[in-house]
Amino acid sequence: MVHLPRTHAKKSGLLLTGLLMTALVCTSAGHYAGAAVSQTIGPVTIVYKHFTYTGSSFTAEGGVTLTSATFNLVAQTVVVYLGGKSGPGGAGITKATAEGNPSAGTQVVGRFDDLKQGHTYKFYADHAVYKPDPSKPSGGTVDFTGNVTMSLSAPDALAEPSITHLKHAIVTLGSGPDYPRIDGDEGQTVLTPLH
Amino acid sequence: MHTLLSILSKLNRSSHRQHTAARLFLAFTTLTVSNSIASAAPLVVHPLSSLASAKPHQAVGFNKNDAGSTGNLEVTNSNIYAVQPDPKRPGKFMWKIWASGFTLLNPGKQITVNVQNMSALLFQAGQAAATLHAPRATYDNIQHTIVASGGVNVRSISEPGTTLRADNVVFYAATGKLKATGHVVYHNGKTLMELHTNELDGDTKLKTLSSNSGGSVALPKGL
Repeated sequence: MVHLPRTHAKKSGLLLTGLLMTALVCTSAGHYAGAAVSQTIGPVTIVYKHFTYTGSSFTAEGGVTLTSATFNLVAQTVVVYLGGKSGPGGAGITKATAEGNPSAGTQVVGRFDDLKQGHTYKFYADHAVYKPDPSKPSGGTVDFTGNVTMSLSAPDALAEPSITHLKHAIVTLGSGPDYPRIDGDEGQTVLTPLH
Repeated sequence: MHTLLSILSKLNRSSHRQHTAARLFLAFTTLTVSNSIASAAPLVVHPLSSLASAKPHQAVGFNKNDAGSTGNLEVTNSNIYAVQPDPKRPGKFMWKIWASGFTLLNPGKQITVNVQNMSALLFQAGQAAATLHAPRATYDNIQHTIVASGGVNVRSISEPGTTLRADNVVFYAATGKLKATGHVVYHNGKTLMELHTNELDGDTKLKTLSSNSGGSVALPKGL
């Protein structure tokens, strides 16, 4: 087990400091920065049990699964706010929130695949908020808060997925080799490197 | 014409206990149809030939069904244009329908109209809210419902490009609500959101929706 007394969020990715020598595996910033895969924003599909729409937003409840071109998310409740100018692609998502079900002990689960690296990031959190980046048509962030756990599956470097506990993590989405980018704050990581 | 007037006369007599009048226009004949439902609003039925079409009224067939003993009556016709005035909003309507054929049943306490190949203009709070097309439909003046079936298409007027398609759609005229069941597909003209489910409730404008039967939503301009 490796305890990371502090990790700092940098633009280049999650920079892990204070790493014990026993954890001399793949904890570099670049690794957690993931990326090197070009993913574009695309259609999103939401599967739900209960649904309400009020004209400017909709709420999907009950084992909601959200699938987009860039990530997959499972939650108890997802609220999507719609707005902006309608065009060929329709009005866009101005914000989306996801909640777990505390009474049932379930959290929001977000999965992000780095197809080129063959890595998979999974985030478990009480809440998640998606906001598009108005300056980048294909950009946006997913902000995880509340008992955040990040699991990194990297078969080429880790014997089993690493587990990082964080207070707060942000996944930046976009097109190009630098995305998805993952920024986090204080936390601790458990790593099991390959021999 | 003699037969027509005779039947219409029986229809009139068969429900003389009523409190509110429904007017029926058939073959350019005006008839006051009684019914015993105090809350029922007048139902006005016109033959299509009385509209813009200059063609004479098509063949009319009337089938009496126990009219003498029970007051029940069945009337069939080939074309129909009917409007339902809104009892709460004078001068406003709840719906207008056009259909290529209909059967009118008047079993004493209610009027049920079965229509084929119906096009309807649906109102919500006195305002035209949507159009509806269906191979078959039934109107019930007690429930104030139009039950459309056989593959129904609804198009919102206030929400351009917003449509609803389903096997069956019930329009609750008194509340301005719709209930769609069976292979429901909702398409929003602004967001291009498309919803698939088996059961969907909404307002007639298709601006507010709810579903408890599970399903999926697709947003083309996604994440």
